[in-house]
Amino acid sequence: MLLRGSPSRALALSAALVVAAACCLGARAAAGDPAPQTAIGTAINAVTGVAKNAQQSAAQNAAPDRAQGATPKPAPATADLSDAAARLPDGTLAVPPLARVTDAAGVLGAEGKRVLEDKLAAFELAHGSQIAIIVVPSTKPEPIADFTNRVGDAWKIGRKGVGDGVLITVAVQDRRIWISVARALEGALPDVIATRISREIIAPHFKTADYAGGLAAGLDAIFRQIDGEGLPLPQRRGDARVADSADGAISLLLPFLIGGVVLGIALRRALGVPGSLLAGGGAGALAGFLLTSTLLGGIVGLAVLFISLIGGSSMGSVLGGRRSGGVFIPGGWSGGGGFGSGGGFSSGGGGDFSGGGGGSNW
Amino acid sequence: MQKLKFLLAAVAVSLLAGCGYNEIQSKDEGVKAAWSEVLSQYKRRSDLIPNVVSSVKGEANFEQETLTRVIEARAKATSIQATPELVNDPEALKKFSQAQGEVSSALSRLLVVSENYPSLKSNAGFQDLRAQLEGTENRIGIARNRYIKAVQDYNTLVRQFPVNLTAMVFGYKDKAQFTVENEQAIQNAPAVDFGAKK
Repeated sequence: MLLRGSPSRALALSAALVVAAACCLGARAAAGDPAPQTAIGTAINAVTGVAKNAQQSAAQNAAPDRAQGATPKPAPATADLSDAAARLPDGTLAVPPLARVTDAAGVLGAEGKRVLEDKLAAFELAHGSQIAIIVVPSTKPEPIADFTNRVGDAWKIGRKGVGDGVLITVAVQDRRIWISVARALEGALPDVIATRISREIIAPHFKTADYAGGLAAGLDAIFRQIDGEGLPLPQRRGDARVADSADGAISLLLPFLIGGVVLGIALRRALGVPGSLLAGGGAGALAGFLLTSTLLGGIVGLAVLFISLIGGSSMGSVLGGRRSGGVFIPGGWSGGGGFGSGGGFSSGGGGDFSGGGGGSNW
Repeated sequence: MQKLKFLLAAVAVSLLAGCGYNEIQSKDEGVKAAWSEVLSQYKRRSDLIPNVVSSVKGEANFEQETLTRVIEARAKATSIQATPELVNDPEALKKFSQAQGEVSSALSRLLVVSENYPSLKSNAGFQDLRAQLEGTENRIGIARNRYIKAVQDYNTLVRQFPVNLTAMVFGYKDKAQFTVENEQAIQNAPAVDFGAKK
């Protein structure tokens, strides 16, 4: 068709277009862009997003192990405090590995640290809010508020979608406390209250070198503030509701999957590969439209495409259909919860630390 | 021929999407959002100042010069129209940023001076105001950093080939960045930090 008018001009034009397209794609790939934003791209994004979530959480889990080498084991209380935390080339403290309680200054003692950790874990279980404590010898030359916000920004503690995180930093040699509050809790814990808690509740204990006691008292005050805020209740680990919603999604998707696969195999036999594409796209679009979710639509579309490609060319497919569905769907939900798995502590990833909070010295 | 035109139009549209038009839109929005955040934090500080001034005025012989400097700096800063369009005008942004920088330094001076007045130090209302000011300075610092990051992303995108062609065609220009001297200004500004050096 292109060649009908003036062959050489059309050829040159199409060559130029191909070059331009290639360079666009190349530049985008170089810029780290995942995929062009076409309809197919979106569908692919929807599904690869699931895989990415899994990767990210795996990376998050792995991160503390990698960084472990950079942070020393909690030093005995008599140790020289000046070298007890890793520093970046510009002299500021490195972001420590994610933990509920980090005691790089070694002033809490094993027992005090455990008590604080249990307290924080219990509160997270009951209310969902994630709170962490970092004790360092000194944050200098960086102001303690900047350090705390930097760590908060890196850890992003606080539930996804709620963003309720609090990070408390104590710089022992600087004699400074700072409570950084994620945006979602700025109402429950405004700057003034955070400052008062550190000045009137925590600091008096610190004056007598009772660090664990001061932090415990401070946490109680923070808990009381958050308690009255009416945040959404936490979903328990391995919660029935999560399983319910996954089941619900599967039963919602099943009609589209089955219908799509049946149609897809028929079309695959009649038209070959384009038939599968047609069925996959159609089922995906329909599911996406009816369930008003691009993610679900993308999952259905791809599942139908693959199953009908495989099933249409060889053997029966209903079993394969179930299996593929099962593989895709749970991934979509495990990413969202972001809850502590096992005994460890994992960040919900929702906290936005944008400067709220307060502190004092002692 | 009809079909050919149609095909070419389709290719052109998909190339437009491929050449970053949509991305320019989303980054442009990102810069706007970051800038609104900066403005709202400055506004928040500006709203706090009258309270600070009135509570310090209650102090009998407070250094008048310090107080006047804060009032004047605030008046100067609020006289500059802080609009979303400021991000497209480096000169105006610089002026705005300088005026706000003066407010920062006048305020930090006032807070340092207030340390010398025991009755202010024991005044719970003033201490609360101080906590709010301190939090606001932190928020301003973070909002500015996020704006700098957003503008950096946007400018990098708009200047790179081939998106620069798309940007040129649709008239998208570089956004104004906070300059290095301003950066210096924020580094020095919040000595509000309980007198601790920032």
